[in-house]
Amino acid sequence: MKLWQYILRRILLMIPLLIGITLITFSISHLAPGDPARLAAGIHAPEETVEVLRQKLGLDKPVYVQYFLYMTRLLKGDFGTSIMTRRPVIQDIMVRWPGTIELTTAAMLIVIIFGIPLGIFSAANEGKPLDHASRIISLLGVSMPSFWLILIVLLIFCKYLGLFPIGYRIDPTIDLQKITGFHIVDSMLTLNFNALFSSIWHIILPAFVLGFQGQATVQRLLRSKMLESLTHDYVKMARAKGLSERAVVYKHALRNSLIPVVTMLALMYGGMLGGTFIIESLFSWQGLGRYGSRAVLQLDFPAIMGVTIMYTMIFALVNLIVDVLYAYLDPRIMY
Amino acid sequence: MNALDVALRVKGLEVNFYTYAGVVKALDGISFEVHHGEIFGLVGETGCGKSVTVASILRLVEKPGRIIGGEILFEGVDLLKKPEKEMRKIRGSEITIVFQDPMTYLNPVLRIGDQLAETIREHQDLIGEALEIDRIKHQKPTAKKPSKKGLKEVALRRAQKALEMVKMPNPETVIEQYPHELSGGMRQRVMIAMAISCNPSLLILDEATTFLDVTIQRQILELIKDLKHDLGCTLMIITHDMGIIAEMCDRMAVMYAGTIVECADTKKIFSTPIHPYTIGLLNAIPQPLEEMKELKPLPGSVPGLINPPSGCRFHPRCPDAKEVCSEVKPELRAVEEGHLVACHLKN
Amino acid sequence: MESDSAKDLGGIFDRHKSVLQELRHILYLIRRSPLSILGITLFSVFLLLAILAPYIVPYDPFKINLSGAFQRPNIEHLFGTDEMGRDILSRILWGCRISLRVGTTVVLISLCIGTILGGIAGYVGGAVEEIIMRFTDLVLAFPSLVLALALSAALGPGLNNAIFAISITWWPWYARLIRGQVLSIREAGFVEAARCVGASDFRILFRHIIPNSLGPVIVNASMDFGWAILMTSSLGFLGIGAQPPEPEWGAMINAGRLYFMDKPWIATFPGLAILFVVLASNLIGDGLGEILNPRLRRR
Repeated sequence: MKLWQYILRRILLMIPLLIGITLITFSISHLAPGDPARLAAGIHAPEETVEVLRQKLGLDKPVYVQYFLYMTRLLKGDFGTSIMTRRPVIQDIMVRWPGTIELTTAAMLIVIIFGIPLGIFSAANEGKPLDHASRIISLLGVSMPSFWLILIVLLIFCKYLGLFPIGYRIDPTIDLQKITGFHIVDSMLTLNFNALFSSIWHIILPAFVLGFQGQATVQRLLRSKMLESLTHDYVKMARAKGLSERAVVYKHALRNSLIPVVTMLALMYGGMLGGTFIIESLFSWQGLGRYGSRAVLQLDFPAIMGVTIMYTMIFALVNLIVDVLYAYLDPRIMY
Repeated sequence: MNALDVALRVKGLEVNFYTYAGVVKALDGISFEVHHGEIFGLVGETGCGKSVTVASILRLVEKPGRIIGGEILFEGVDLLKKPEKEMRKIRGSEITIVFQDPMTYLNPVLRIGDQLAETIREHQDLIGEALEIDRIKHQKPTAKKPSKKGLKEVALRRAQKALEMVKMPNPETVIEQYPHELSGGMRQRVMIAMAISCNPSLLILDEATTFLDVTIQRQILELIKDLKHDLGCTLMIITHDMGIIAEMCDRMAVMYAGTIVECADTKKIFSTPIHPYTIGLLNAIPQPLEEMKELKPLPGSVPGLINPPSGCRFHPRCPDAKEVCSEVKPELRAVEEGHLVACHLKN
Repeated sequence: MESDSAKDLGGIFDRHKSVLQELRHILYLIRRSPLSILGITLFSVFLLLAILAPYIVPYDPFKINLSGAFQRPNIEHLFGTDEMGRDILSRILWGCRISLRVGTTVVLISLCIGTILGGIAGYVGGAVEEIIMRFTDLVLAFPSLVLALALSAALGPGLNNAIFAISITWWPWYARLIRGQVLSIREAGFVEAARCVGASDFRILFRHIIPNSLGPVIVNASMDFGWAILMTSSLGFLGIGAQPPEPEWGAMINAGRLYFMDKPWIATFPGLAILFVVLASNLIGDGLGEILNPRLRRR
């Protein structure tokens, strides 16, 4: 099978997956206690208003009809109205999603830039003190709760050292023309270097914290896989052919070890999406995570489900990209 | 025998493995000679130390093993004293190995052409040809340094030539393929192509046909004979299959539990074996054309090498063992011209 | 008769000699790995504290004492007091019990569901396998914390709901793992032999295949113990999951975050507690991984 055929097949498989996702989200929202019509109308609304609302939302119809209505609404982009902002959820999402994507992408970059070289370095220097040191640090990184790390980081870097700003994606006094919603991209497009600098400065700390655990995981996995690869026969063969140690490690062992790491990166992205709930709240970052965590506290179900669906679709897209990357790296998977 | 006629001389090679269970004395001071242009066979049961010997020649003994004594003279130079950088120049170009299982010895995520070309790029001088390609094909008539593309193309060309030499069908296609797309026999041809691509003077086959069907085995052995003839190299065949030795090898050595017990011309050993182990080995081969007799396997089993038998390592299984056999280790000595045996009783 | 039972005892040892030898080898490897020892030690301390908590807490973890609130760590209150005047050390000790419960419950539930579904999928194959694996993929299509959050919100706040929600997001990993193992062992020689002797499918699956698949599962399960605690504390931090006055470590950090800048001890100690327990479980998981993977063993 050629690569493009594999890609096509994977894309087609997304369709039943998306349907399944809506099924699950529907079931979850159905599980929620409380009367949705009452919640939407408000505690003080009179009974007749609630009844009218109930009929309008189709809540008196059988389950499968409700699901059908739910699906049609989703396809039109209608995620319901948020109880806390009183605006259509889809609007709330559209305003906030660039912030989250920018953050998770930056965090992913941190994971790749730090995790992969450190993992290789650790494996190549196995047993030496530097290896032990980086193993300990990465071990701590995986065992630490991220929200606790943030508090410590905020205390040290923001309060005591005053190095980084707390809150917001960009200095609110800077004027930035909005093209894509991604501050970094927009500031580059409009050559607004003030804005570019400010948005990068604001993103560094939250991205670092979000990516720290991921970077530690990648480091550990890569080190483990590299050490394992180096015991394989094809490495022995590469040495018997007189190749330099550099070629043996980077060309032969690394190629094989990166494959499981790439899969892990997809998973990590999912973890990061979950992490945005915490990070965005603590950094006052305008994104879906902060919106979602407030929604959870207030049990605002339309908002909660909207965020869930949005995050899951992003996750599905990332998984697709990673699967394709994996097929490129390991041609065996297509057979 | 003139010193110039000896391609490889192993003298008193000792290798230990330091394991959880104890120190495994894998090679107990073995010695043998391989002459220029001959086919030399090293035969023995599984675990007797054949593969460790091969690994030692290229200084590729892996932890927890270590070479602790002896000399390995290749063209008169002791390989054990060479710096690692120079050893790397020898590996893959002057001394090459074909291993047993091509599926695990080929990197599954790299193309065949790539794996062949990397050896060629490492050891051969491609500059001249690459410059020519640059000048003619890529229209860079004044180029002084070859481009990466040019080097890559030359290497792949030579890789394809190597595949042609091993009689691979459709070499142009195979270059682009991955190991899992080929059959077992084809993969082994690739391994052989890798081994001959840089004109080795010593080619070692470590159980190279063990995993192949009998018919493919035949083809591969024929191929190897032809290649040796064309390339004029020295061949060393490691195997546990006496049949292959009988058919291919000019001279042979028999290994047992980390020691060499007998070494001579193949014909001599098959017609008049001297060491009790060799005799036992040959007796154990079923003879289909003779009268139906009982199979005569060797009694007992191969000893563990953490606490090997004292003196002669074979003495517990030897029908003629005497007291001296359990006390003193027998030296490998010439019993007649060109026929060496390590046995107290036959010396 | 005495001599008979003595012989029997000798017989048991003989039959299980290889198992005993393997165990000795494993103990030897553990001794050679200082990280594993550290992990086991930390975990044992945690276990001990959790079990003995009711007897060793210096103060009542739930007793409110507003006049003694916000005390810095001092002789009377080694970790200080929180915003309600409760002794933080006592609350942390009590939190050990909660975390222990969380870790074991989540791992056990996901392990059971995952093993049963994965085992059946791998062994029976065909349409059943397809359905089960597609369902697994579906659950895995959701980012785990997001799904746990949504479920917890739907079920309502509370620690038990949180535990249940997390288990639901976690079982697919075990299902996939077990199914993979079952697939590779299914065609093994001893399985075919059992079939020839007429063993029922059920027996083959549960007595032969699954015990042999447990290697990587054990490694995962030990690391997941820590992971479950991390997830639960995240939910606790976000306000869903354990509710005050439960001394769940995540919820404690959430309560302490408002005061963090000038009264950092309220949130710091629960965080350290989480760090230690998760660290212990990761160390053990790492160590087990090295031991069970012969390629990584350094003889």
